Amino acid sequence: MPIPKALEPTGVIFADKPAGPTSFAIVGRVRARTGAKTGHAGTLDPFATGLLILLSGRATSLQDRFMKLDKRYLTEIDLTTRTATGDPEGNVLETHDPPDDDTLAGVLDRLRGAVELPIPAASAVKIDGERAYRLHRKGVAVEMPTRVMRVHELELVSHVDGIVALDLHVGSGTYVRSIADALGGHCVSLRRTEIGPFSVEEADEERVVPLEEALPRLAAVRDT
Amino acid sequence: MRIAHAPSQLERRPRAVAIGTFDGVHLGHRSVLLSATDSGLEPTVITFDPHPRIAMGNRVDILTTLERRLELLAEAGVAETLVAAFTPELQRLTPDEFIATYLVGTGAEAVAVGPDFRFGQRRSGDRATLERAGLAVLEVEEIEGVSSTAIRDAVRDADLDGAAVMLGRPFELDGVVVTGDQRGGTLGYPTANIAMDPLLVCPRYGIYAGEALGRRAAISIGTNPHYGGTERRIEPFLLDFDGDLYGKRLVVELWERLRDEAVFDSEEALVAQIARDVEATRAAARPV
Repeated sequence: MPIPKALEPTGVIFADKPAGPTSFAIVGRVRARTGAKTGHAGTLDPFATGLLILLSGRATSLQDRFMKLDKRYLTEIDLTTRTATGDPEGNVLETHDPPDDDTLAGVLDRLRGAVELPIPAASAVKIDGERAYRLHRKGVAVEMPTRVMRVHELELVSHVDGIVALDLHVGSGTYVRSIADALGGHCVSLRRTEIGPFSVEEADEERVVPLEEALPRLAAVRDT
Repeated sequence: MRIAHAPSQLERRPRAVAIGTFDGVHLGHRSVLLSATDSGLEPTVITFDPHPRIAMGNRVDILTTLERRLELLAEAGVAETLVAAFTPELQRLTPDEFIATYLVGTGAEAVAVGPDFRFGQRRSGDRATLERAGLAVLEVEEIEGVSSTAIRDAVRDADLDGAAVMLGRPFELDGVVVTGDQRGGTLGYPTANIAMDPLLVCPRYGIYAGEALGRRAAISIGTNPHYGGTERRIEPFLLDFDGDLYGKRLVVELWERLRDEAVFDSEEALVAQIARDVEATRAAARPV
């Protein structure tokens, strides 16, 4: 039988994922260096960048502790084009003129707080999107399951030529792609800047942060 | 280990999913499972019940009950198992639909499968289909010469060493203790009569040595020809055990085949042989 992977080093690795690879590819890259069993606590789609929390060694069993945290994202949304997946990977569903600033402000306002939105088709996998696209072309509305998503903060950073940049602070399980779709557009770029108390600015793929250092920061968040 | 019966019961989270029937949870299966449990993602299994080949109308003697299969998956370190009913609806899913609902929808990022894995309508999906969908197909070390079919054949031939080597543990009988012929007690050897799922593979009739509830057991499998029986009976006699087993589930390891069933000239001759069987059972060695 093959030999199980090492359980050391144990700890948390904060990585800044580039656009392109899957989250699991980053896991593979880290594991190749450390030789340890390595997982992660919440995926980023291939086109997205930013903070990915990797768990190494014995910390892989602590996935639950690092999930369900609030997240902060920076995103650029093309307001002129809806796609089947809410990102650049999906087929184009429709194009239209961008809204004017007043209309946009109103729509953004309605997205703050708890909003029920459709869960987007998986980005990494185009299958659902392709099907949604085909059905859409046939004039069939595709019912995606919905979920109550929480938008704690939504700040308009810029609005130039139909591309809007947003800074979003959202609850766990909130899809930025759903928000883009609700705005009649799709995510052109997506960057995760925070997960709970952890910021992408502390990302260092080479450093294994000991659990004694990472876990108390989670506890501090829960207490507030 | 958490058990789910529909993909919607699995929370979406980063998972490594091992897919298979896993009947017997033998060394080949364990190699697939290890790739998932070792991945660092939430180790998850999607398994099927009833056995797909039985659902398709074939005759297959299964190696483990679903209950035992789930126990063994838990022992292997699996955190969550989805038992998918192998229904005509499931069989009609295209590979893409299966991937969307069962894998992507549950957060799977990596998949571990055996060497001949096929899935979806007309078994048209394979590893390449999974990779095209953006899933990482984990490397699985192939274990040569181990298959459920080979284990079934070994068990039927009473090759318990061969079966144990492939299973990575002794072959087991698994059933509930029911009222039997009440004969053993009068002979001084009260046996537990085990009702076993008729779908489970049964070793060649004969007298075996093994273990149950942590005690040595002499096990009679067959029709009790001395008493002119015709129905199959599986009856372990637990050594140094005094207790009521009726209604309890019993998992019995088979270690060694001691002899064929026989018709004796007298009850005394039968009792004398049972005494020798008990001694042989004390001396028996656990395979593997």
